[in-house]
Amino acid sequence: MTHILVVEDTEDNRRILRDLLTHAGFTLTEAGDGERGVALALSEKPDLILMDMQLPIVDGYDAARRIKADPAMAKTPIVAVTSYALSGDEEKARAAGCDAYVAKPFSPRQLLATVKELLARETPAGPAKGIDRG
Amino acid sequence: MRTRLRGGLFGKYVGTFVGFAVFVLLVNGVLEMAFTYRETTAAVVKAESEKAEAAAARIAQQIAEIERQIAWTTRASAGVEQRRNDYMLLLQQVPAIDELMQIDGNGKELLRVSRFTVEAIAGTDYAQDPRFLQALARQVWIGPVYFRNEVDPYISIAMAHSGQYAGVTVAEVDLRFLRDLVAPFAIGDQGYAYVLGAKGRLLAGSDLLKAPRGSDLGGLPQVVEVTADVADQPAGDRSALAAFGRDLGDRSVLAAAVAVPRTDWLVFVEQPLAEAFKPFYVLLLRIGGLILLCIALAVLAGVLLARRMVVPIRALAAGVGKFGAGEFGHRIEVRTGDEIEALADEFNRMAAQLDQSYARLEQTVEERTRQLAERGRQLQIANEHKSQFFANMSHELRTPLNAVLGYAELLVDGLYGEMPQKAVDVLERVQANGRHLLGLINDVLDLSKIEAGQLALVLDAYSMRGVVEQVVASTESLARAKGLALTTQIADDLPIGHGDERRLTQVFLNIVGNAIKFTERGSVDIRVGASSDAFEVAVRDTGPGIAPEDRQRIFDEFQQVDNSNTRQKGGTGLGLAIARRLVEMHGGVIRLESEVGIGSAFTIVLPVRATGPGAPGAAGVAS
Repeated sequence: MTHILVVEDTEDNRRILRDLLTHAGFTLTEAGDGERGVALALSEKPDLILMDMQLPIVDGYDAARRIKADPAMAKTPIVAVTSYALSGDEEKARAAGCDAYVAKPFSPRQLLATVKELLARETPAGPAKGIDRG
Repeated sequence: MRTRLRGGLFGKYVGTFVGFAVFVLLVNGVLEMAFTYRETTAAVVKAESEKAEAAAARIAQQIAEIERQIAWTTRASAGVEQRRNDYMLLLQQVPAIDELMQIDGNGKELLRVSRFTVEAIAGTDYAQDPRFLQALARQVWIGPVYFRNEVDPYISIAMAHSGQYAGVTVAEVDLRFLRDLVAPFAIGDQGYAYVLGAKGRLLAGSDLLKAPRGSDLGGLPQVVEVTADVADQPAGDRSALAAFGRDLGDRSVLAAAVAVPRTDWLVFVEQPLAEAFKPFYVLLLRIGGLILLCIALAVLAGVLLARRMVVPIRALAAGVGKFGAGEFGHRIEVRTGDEIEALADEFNRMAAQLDQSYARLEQTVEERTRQLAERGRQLQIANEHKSQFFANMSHELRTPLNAVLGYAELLVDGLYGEMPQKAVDVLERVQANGRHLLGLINDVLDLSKIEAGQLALVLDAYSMRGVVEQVVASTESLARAKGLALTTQIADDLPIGHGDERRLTQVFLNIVGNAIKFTERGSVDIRVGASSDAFEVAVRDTGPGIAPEDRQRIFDEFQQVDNSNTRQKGGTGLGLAIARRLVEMHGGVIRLESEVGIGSAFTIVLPVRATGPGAPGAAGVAS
C-alpha cells in the first residue's frame, strides 16, 4: 500500500487529507510540526510527503531541505501546500526541494490528482514499495 | 543681475569738474583777451603815432632849416659874382641842395650853380615857371616832389629875393636825407618808418621796408585808408591816423601815419602784427596753456574725488549684490568716515541679521524635516504593521476557509456517504460563497502588499500573445454562458515582453472578466498591437458604459459604479485598483474611453520592457 506522510499543523486540514487519502486507498502517517515531520520522513521513508509550509518549530521549507538532504529520500516527491498564494512562494518551495506546489485553499479533487500523477511518475523509477506492502 | 548703467558716477563727477573749470577759464580768458587786444592795439597805435609825429616834426624842421639857409642867400643885395660865391658856400654847407639858380625879376635865369655840372648861363626864360610865379606870389614856395633817374626824389624850394633886386632863388633839394630822418623812428625789431609823397610814391623808408625809393605804395590798404582819412581831416588837424593793413611781404601790419606840415607827404610808422601783438599772442598762449593745465587739474581732481565717492559706492553695490546672491557672510569694507561708511555699516548689520534669520530658518527647516522624516518612518512602520497584519489575517482567514471548502467538496464527492440532491445544491452554494470570500481576502492582501511596497514584480521574458490567449481560455466559457462574442485580434510580430507574466495575466483577466461581467449582450473584443517600445492592449465591450464622473473613481479602491450593481455582479471592487497599480508598476498606463449606453474601452499601454516598479500614482489613468 502506498504510504504518504502528511505534515500539517491544523487538525481540520489533517482530517480532510486523511479522509481524502485513506478513501483513495493510501496509508497515512501524520505529523503536526516540522521537526516531527522530518523525523517521521527519515524513519518511515514514505512514498510521498504533503508538506504545509507554515509549521511550528521547523517550517516547511527547512523541513523539506532536511528531508531531501538524506540520500535515501532524495527521490521522494514532496508536495508543498501553502496558503501564501503569492508570486515567489512557488519558487521558494521548489528551491527548498519540493516537487509540486498546491495553494490553499486546495480543492481535494485537484490535490488527489496531483498526488496520483506524482506517484505514477515515480513508479517506473524505483520499486513500488506500496505494492509490496499493499 | 546687475543693471547696465547708462553713465557712471565716475564720468559724471569728472565731467562736472572739467566742465565747470573750463567754463570759468574760458569766460575769464575771453574777457582778458578782448581787453588785452584792445589795450595792445591802443598801445601800439600810441607808440607808432608818437614816432610818426616826431618824424614828421623832424622833417618839417629839416625843411625849415634848409629854407633858413636859402633865405640867407636872398637877403643881402649882391652882384652876380657875390651871389655865386654865396651859392657855392650854400652848396658846401647844405649837402641836400644840389643846385641853385637865380632868376631875375623878369623871369630870366641869371645864375646857376650845380654840385654836379659846370654852370652856364643859359638865359632860359622862367617867366611862366611855377617856381618863379609862386615864389613871387608867396615869398617862399615848396614845389611838388619830382624824381630824377626815376628813383631820386627832389623838391624845388623857390624864394623871392628881398631888397632892391627883385628875383627868385630856386634850390633843388635832394630828398634822400629823409631816410636818415625817418629811419630812427622805426619801432621794434621788425617795424619800419617811411615817407610817402603824393600818389603814394615812396620818398624814403627804413631798410626793413624793402622797397626802392619811388615805389608806388598807393595800393597798400593802410595807405588807401589813411589817405582817405587825411582828406577828411579838418584843416590844421595833424593828429595821427591808425589803420590795419598789409606790408609788401603780405604780412598783417598795424600802421600810424602823420601828415608832414607844409607838404602833402605822409610819414608812416608800421609794425607787423606778429611783433606788435607778440605780448597778446603770448597771453593767448598763456591762457590756452592755463586752460589745458586747469582741465588736467580738474580731471585729476574729478578722478580723485570720484574715486573717493565712487569706489566706496561700487564697493557698496558689489557688497549688496553679494548679499542678494545669498553671501551673508560678506562684509562691505568702506572706510571713508562719512555717510557712505555709515550706509555700508547699515548694510553689514542688515546682512548679519539676515544671516542669523537664515540660520534660524534653516535650523527650523532641518528640525521640521527631521520630524517629518521621523513621522514618515513611523507611518512606514505603521503601514508595514498594517500589511503584516493583513498578511497574517488572510492566512488566519484562509486556514478555516480551507477547511470549510475542503469539507464541502468531500461531502459533495460523497466521501461521507451519499448526499441527497438538495444537500449537494446547498453545499455547492457554500463552496461558491467560500470562493468569493477567498477572492476578497486575496485582493485585500494584494492591495495591502502593493501599498506597503512589499509586492515585488518577478520580471522575466513573456509572450504577450501567450498571456492574452491564457486570459481568453479562462474567460471564454463565461462569455459563452452569457451568449457574448469574445473576439481577439493579435498582431503577428509582437516583440518578446519583459515583465511579471503572472501579474499581467491577473490584470488582463480582471479587465476582460469585468467586460464580460458587465455586458449583457453584444461582444467583447480584444485587440493587441505594439509600437517599437510598447504593447497596446484594447478591451472593448458593448456594455452599459461608464459616466464621465465615474471614470476616474472606478480605479480607486472599493469603488464600483453602483454598489447594488456590485452585489449583483460580484467582485470586490478592488480588481481595477490592483490592475492599475500593477500596470503602473510596469511603467504603463490604463486609458478609459466610454460612452454611456454604447460601451467602454480600456486600453492598456505597457512598455515592452517594464521600466521597473514605479511609485504608485506616478503614472496615471487617462480618461
